[in-house]
Amino acid sequence: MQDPYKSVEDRAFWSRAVAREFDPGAVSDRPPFTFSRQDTFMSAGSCFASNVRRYLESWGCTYTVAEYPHPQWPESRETLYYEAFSARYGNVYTARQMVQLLQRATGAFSPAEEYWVNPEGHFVDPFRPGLALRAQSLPEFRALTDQHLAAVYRAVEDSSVLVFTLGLTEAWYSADDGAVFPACPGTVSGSFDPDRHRFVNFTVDEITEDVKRMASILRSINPTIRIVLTVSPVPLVATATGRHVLVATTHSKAMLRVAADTAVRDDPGMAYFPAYEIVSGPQNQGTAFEADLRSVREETIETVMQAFATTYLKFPTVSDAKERSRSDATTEDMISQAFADECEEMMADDQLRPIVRVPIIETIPVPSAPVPTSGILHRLGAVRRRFDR
Amino acid sequence: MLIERQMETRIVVIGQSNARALRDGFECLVRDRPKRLGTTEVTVVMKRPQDLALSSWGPDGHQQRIAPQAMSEVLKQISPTHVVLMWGGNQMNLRAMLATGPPFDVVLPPALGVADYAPDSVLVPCAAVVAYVRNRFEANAELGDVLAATRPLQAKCLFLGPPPPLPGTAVRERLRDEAHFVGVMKKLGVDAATVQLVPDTVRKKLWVLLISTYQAFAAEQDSAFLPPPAGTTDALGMLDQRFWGVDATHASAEYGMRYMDEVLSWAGVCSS
Repeated sequence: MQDPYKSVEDRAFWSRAVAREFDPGAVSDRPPFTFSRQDTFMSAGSCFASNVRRYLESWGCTYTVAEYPHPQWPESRETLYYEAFSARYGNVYTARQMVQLLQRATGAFSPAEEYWVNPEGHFVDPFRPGLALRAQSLPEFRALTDQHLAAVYRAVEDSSVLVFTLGLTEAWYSADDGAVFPACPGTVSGSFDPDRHRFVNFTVDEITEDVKRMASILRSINPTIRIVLTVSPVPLVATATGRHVLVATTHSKAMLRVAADTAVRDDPGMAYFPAYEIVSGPQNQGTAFEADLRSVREETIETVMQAFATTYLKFPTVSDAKERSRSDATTEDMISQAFADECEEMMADDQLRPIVRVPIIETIPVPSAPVPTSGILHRLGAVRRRFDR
Repeated sequence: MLIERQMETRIVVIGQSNARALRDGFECLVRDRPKRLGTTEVTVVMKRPQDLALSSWGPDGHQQRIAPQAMSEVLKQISPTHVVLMWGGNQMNLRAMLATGPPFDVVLPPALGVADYAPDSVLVPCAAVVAYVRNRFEANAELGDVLAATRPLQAKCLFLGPPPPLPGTAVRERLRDEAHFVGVMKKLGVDAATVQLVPDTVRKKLWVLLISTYQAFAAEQDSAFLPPPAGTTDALGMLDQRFWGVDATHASAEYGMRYMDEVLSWAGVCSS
């Protein structure tokens, strides 16, 4: 009888599919769904997820943006990753954090640690601690938070696909109600309170359950939304487990990888895309990361996203999409530019009709070159002497 | 004693387009109440693109135009006891009088007003509005030069705030005659009849933030701040019709007269 390996495809053999002729576009399992030009995308997750938007947009895909800086106020553009996603949630590192964000957007959860107040008296969002533009009052903080959560809800409503990248298993949470923070209090902002802030390293079961809860809440808002899960290949910055960071990273990524596989197994509306494997596999021979061995090189990101396109996008990616994207930006730039020509002197009174006519006794013609200072002072002195009489 | 003190009072008001109302208002003040000035010397220096326009008040009354580079020399020569700055002031008119994109709103801190907002609008954080105004101050080399020229004078320094915004109806009537806004509207592909204006309620809030930013900036310069004169707004907080200037953004000489009256009081010049 023929052994079972005789009938499997080349992609099942390391020597044929990885060691030689590695094809990133062939790594993914056959997806349960694909996407057309009519699909609308949103993304969330760790910093690796921020790459999704710019590639999708460059291919001419519709990326949902429900929260954005007002074009008339370029100063309202946020920094870090707050403009990289469908709303200003920034990096969502854990599945629990995503569940919590969706619960807040649906009104099912209100964290006890609603805000922190910094030394300047401004209000800091514990769940978006890196926001540069901080509310100056509690009413403003609540209004901006409400606006943000409404945008999250709208983004889910308006999207047919969510690409979610699982980033971390380690998190800090509030002992008051279990609300998880994206960063340990006291690092990016706020202050650490050992009686109030606790560390957790989520288990595979907890992560799996959180991913399922995430899918459930998403579908309560948008029943037809499909979910693509990925695992970030970016190693931990630091671990609070006391272990070596390499061991902690391997442990975390392994748990996330198992949880992702487990969550999608019985859910036809959810798929796993192997970005982690394409970046972290030995086929890259150490070329996937920058010199810090943590940041993924742009060429590697491009490889991942091309593999994503091969797997999911059943239409040719538009070659001039980047050009069209720039055109959109130009429209916004034009509006900003129209309002940026803000020289006060453009509005100086030469354009105004005089109301009170003051007799001009002495008018010195406007010089084409700087007027000698001594001449000015001489004339000014003459005027002052007359006042002094 | 009083006369001696007034003789020692030399006030220089330095500003851009909003200084015109002060200059013209002061002219009215001198004409209507000549004893108000006494022997105090007041000079209004308007910084314009091509020159400095000096208007000095004394027995004769004079205007001069001199090169813009001469600001520090002018100040040294006058040796003022009081420097009053009415710098800029049209930041919000330039940025947020004409509307484009979706409606926006801000939520004022309770100390500055009612913390309400239009629910369907995009909220612009107050911090972004303040950042815009502060950038305009901090990136303004001319203001930096004026402040640098003022510091060695040992003069008391006072910042004034710009006038409240005109109501939208008045703005629309005046827009077609203003080259700057006509140019902006042309870029946007609209005209004075069809252009959308930022609602009065929002423009009033932006002005409140503008004034509070001026106040904070003045404090950082170890200067005093005199808010726009009371009683010059209508029931909605916009500039009252009695004080509208001839264009969409500036106040009248009557407004300037009230403000200058308060400036004189601040400088210790007695009421007539």
